[in-house]
Amino acid sequence: MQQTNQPNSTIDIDSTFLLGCESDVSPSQVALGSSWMAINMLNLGGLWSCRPGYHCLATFPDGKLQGVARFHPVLGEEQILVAVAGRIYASSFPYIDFHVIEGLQFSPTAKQIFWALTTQAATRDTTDFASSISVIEPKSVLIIQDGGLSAPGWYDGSNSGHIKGNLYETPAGGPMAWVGDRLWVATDNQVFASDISNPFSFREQIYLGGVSSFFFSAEVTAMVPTPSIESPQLMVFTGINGSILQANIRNRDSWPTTPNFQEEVVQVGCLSNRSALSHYGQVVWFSPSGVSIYDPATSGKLTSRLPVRDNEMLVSKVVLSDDLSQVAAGAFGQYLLMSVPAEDTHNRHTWVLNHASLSTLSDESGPSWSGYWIGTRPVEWVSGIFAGQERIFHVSVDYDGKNRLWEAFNPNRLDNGCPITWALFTRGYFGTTSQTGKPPGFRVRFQWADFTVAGVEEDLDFGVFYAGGTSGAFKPIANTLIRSLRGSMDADTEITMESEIFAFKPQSRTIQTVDADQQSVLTSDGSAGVEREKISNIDRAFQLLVVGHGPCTLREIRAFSLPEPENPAGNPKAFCGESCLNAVRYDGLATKSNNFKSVVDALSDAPEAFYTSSKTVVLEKNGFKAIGIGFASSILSQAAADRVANIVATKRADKDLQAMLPPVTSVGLGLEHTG
Amino acid sequence: MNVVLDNLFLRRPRIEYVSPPICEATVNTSSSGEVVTSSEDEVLIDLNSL
Repeated sequence: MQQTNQPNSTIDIDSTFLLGCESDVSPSQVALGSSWMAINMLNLGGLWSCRPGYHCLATFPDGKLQGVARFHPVLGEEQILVAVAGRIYASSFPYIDFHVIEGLQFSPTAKQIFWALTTQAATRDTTDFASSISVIEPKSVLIIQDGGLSAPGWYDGSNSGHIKGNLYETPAGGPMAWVGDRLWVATDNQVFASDISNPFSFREQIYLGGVSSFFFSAEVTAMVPTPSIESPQLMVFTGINGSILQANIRNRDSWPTTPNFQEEVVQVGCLSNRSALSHYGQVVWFSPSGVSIYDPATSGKLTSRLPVRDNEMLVSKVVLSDDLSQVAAGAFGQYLLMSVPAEDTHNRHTWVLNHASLSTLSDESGPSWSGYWIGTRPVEWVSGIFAGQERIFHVSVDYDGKNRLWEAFNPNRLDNGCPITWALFTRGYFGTTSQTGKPPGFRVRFQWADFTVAGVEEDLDFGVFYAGGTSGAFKPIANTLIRSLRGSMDADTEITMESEIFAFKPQSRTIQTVDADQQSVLTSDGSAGVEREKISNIDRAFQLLVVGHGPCTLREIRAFSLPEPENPAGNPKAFCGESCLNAVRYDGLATKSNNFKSVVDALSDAPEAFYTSSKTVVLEKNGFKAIGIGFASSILSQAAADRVANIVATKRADKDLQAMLPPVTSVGLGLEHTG
Repeated sequence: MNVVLDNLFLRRPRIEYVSPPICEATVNTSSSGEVVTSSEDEVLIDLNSL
């Protein structure tokens, strides 16, 4: 039967989400246009969408995963280098055929590998200090370090080796940068600069004050070129501050006489070399207090107030590990990614900042947080132009302990062809920022919500939960499977040269929940009598949790409620204490009793809305057989977990079967030239 | 990390997800390397003496 809202129903609505996430305030105070938090979603054009997909390219041998880098030769195609247990693996596009670079061996236990892509245009003719210089055809050289445990290494695309046995060559160290045609190498609290256009020669000895290097107040933790309009300079971080070196000045003789050649500009340090990068004209890094952003163009190299920019990510920030030395940042177009050790010692959460949430033409839309992504545990990100296209990759220590290379931002919104689990925690509808005419603070009786979704490219599990703004667990009010076909191909249809193959358009829906006011068990989360007086659907505001498995875009959310009369009398129990033992589980489930054991048993025995599934699929073709195993979890239903696990198992078996089957070569029938 | 307070302690539903690692290739290696000794100390001593 068609549900109709009663005449006195009030409506609250979100038709744009351009302001992203804001989890540092109560959901009822989250601003219009914002959401409380999003998982595996992207905020673009005011719409929430399932995040772009990941594509797994290669699994590496076991051992300490130490990093990934891009090597860009002066001529030729880009390579990706991956460091595992001291060995360096390299591959050209499409980055699935990796080989060990012989002649390079770093410490297998080094915490990380440092990389610097340089351009060598000069070389020394001999190894002595007064060696003459020869100008050579410029070539790209990647300098590689492991923090000083091994001699520096180099790789030019075909040749490689370690730099050793010469006192005037590249010092062993950690963070490096190529700025002003010099290689800058940090060792402990010192920074050395190479000779011009030669990352192998460190003979030139002009620094400041007659010493043999630039000195800093503590160990140098990170170095990053600044996006200065004049010319790139070098920002050098310790754990407690950040300084600028005017590394763009080519004439070394003028360094000692240049005012403020080395100057401390911020009293905010950086703990991870991988967290510092230039993005959208600003330097971004992860400080001991969180994400910091510094704009060298507007700061005028003055020490400036530098508030952290990530309190909106509080729900993830409060579960960060103490060791932040391996936080890893990446940049892809307008998006900044910051992989952090949340709920883990590895980087389990990747925070996503959209630097242009709505308008790019007028450049008037500020940045917004798109929540965090889960799925892999990135160790290092690398991005740029690969094979003529902007791409971004990361290496990850995955949950099974394997080291893998992944490409991110795959527009199909599937991870290796499988549905991605995503979730959106909305603002508190009918709260202080609502669009209703309700007096602020008055209670309402939540009825239902509906969701306008688009971009449903294939089958989609879609579920909705609601919870009171002040207490209570999330309670399900919708759980449905949207059926959407992708295109005109399937496994049972023979395709010939005459077959017409085409994709179907992604679909839209408006999905309405049940009426919470009509649900039979309203107090099933136990919160009534513990954290609240009223039943579950009576509160000052209501937060919705939307969860999906599959590609989808959220366009609009409408929530409906009935006014709830306030009790005009005072509380006769205002001077009475609570007598029972009260306890609330992590998910909001509550109970009370006079017996401690009863309380604990009630919460430990209560079912969790968490379903897991493991499926096995066997595929057979032309006598070849492949078995795939898939695993999935869901908070929606067992059926949803089963569906996703089945897809994963099928994709695995399909991948194995493809590898086993002999290649099919067309004989060209149907392609004869008839003209 | 500095002390960050979660004043609200709202419920945390158990939302977990692992990207299925269906890889294009597996990298194998049988070649072995040898750790090269760092020359860091030698360089630093020499530079300081100049």
